[in-house]
Amino acid sequence: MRNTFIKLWVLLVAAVLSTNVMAQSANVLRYPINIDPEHLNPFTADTIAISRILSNVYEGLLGYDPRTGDIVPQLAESYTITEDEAGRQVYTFNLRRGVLFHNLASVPLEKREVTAEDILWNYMTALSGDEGISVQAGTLDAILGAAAYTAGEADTVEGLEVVDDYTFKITLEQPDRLFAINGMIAIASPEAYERLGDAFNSTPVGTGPFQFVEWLREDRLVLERNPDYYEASLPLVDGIRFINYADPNTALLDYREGNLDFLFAFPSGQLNAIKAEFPNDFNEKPGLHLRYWGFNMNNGFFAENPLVRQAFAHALDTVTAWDILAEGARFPATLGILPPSMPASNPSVTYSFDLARAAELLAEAGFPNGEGMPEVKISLLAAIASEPQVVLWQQALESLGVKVVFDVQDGSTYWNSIVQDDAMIFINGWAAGLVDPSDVFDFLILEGRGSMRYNNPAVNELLRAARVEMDEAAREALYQQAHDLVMADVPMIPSAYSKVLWLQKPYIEGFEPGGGGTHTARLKFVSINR
Amino acid sequence: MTKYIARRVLQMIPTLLIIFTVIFVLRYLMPGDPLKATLGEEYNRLDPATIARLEEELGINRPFLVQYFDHLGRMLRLDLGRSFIERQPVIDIIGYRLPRTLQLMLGGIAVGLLIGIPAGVISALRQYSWLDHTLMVIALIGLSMPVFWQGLMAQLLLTQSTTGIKIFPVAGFGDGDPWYMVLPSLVLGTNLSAVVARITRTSMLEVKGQDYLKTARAKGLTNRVVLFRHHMRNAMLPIVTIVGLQFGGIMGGALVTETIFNWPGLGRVIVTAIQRLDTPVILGVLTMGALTFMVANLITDLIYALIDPRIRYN
Repeated sequence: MRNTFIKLWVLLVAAVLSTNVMAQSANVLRYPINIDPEHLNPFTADTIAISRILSNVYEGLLGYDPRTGDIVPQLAESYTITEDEAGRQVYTFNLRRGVLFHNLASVPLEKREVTAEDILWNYMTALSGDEGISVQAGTLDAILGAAAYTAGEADTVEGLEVVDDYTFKITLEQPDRLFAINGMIAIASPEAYERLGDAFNSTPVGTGPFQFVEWLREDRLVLERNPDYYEASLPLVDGIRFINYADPNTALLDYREGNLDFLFAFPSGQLNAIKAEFPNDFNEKPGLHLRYWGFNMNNGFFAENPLVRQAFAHALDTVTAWDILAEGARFPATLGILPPSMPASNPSVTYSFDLARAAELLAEAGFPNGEGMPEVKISLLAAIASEPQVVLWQQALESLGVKVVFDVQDGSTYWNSIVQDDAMIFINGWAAGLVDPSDVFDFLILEGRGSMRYNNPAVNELLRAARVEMDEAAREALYQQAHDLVMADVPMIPSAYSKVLWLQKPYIEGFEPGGGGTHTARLKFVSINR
Repeated sequence: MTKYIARRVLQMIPTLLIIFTVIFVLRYLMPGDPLKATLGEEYNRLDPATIARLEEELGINRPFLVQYFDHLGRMLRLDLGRSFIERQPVIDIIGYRLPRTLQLMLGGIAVGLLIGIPAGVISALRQYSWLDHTLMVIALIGLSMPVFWQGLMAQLLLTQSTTGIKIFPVAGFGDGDPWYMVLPSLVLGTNLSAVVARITRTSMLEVKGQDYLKTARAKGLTNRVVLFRHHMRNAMLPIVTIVGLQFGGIMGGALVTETIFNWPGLGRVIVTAIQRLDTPVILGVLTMGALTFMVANLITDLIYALIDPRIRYN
């Protein structure tokens, strides 16, 4: 009996060890994620969690290299921009031949080449408005006739045309220099979409370097190499295993034990310790995310008191908050609202930490030592309420005589309160995907679109002009002017620019994310060289 | 017995209806708007027509009673609706996760009983000995430690070669490999084992002086037979009661354990659903949780009858 027990124990240990050996010897990336994608439907709302997965499964006509900012060919091997007789911009895409849709074991379909009809179907579906919460349609507004089609006023989209099997034309209502980036959508298999129905939300079928294998929610999502990928030498690994870690501590423990190839989310307060423990694995580069404090510019006290806004900006000590107290987790925002790697990111007006100047401005505004000012309610998102800048700013404002109350809310109510008019000041962030000022200004500033609802006609005019200006220098000058005006108005106080931080094992090569975050790295170029 | 079970099952229907109504009202009273919670700032950039269309699709623009009866009607047809966020049927979300949560809970209960009962019995048999005192101090420590702390300590000591011994995997479901279940079950079952140990000890001591035990011994039965057939069996009822009552606590503990050990169960999905005001998921998961709790209580009552032949439900 005792011998049998020992044998069973030995067999069990051997089984466990052999499982570990298999997992480590496979040429599969073990990639931690801290949140599951909400779904895998490319036609509906896009989040970082979704695009991290889908950017490996789907491709568009053109792609974007996040490292260089270059437009790269994907399903279209080339394209031209011309003008039609009405002076409208026309993009003509020449499709790559021999690109096949994925053929999944779970969704066996006849192997079929992608043609221009498929491209048309995808654009029409994205514009149809039938796909629930869709943000895609907004990026495609520039296409001639798109808005009328989405609104149900037309049966076709005038600006979309199949010339032949391998040529597809898109005509724009007005020139858009970023259409080659923002106007590109993921191309999905129409047959898979029809056949899968609801399951299309969790079973992506595209043409990208990796194809879908399985998704066990809150556990793992597995992709495998697409054997028919048009670049035969890519991808360089056999697959990717996205492993969900709700707790960054757990991910760190698994990374330490060699069960993960990367670590992207660090437990709070452990950045310096992690740097010290993994000096060779640690990587850092400037990011494109902006953390800021927004003022309610629609109505209320701050909308009417620009000098007080300036005083508040001078009271925020971003250098101490981020460089010292937050262990350098972000760069202090000492410039403007554009991350420093962007053109026009150095405005003529900035607000360095200067309490004396802040006191002067308050007095000038008619509130010496904060007298006569209402109690200031600042809305905080619970997930980031513990950032050191919060306490630091509160102390500085109270030293100026301003009474500050923080209202900490979770995600279910926070957005509600800042979207409505409840918040006087709120914390927020914006992650640009492109190294281009439009990716910040068009979402936060233009026509009051950001939660500040800052709407300055002079700024709007400059931004609209920049959007269609094809000359780089002239465009940068327009953005510079807009940036100066915005900073003088202070609808928001820039607090920090992100750093893209991650650990990767020394045997990983080719992992090169862009400033948008680690999710932008193109995993088809990543290899494991143990 | 069958009649009793049928009656209890029928009683569950109004109870579930009340629970469903309470959950629905609380969800309705929660501040926030599902669309804004889902879209965040993106909401600002949508035109009013799109917002109206999305509200119509999600059904959140209808009056309270219409929404209530719509959800209730679907629930009665066993159609739990479709998640606002995950865009898949709620029944699939629950069907995938509930078995995993139950698996973890059963593991925790097994650990609780396997450690708690022997510890309680030994303590009672060796009352006031050093062994009794040591076991009860350990039980007190087990009771006092929060689950998340136990989880972190267990990971540091039993999964890491640098800070302890690497015996178990750090986390994950491991495709159902039982080895992955051991550590989360140990963590989840520790609190229960401490409770069970203390209850077992008390219950065993209460029974210890009873006449029927003296009679059993006088008949010449061995210590083992007396212990297992007469002493423990009579002491078992309070233990079954406490496990039944602790079921809800174990469910709550499972939700924390799932997060620490990356266990794909209901805990994580309900937290996300509440944060994003995903009404169909909130209603479906909580109602299903309540149903599970009621079934567990029914099973507890049925076990009474198995242990004590004097209890007959008919």
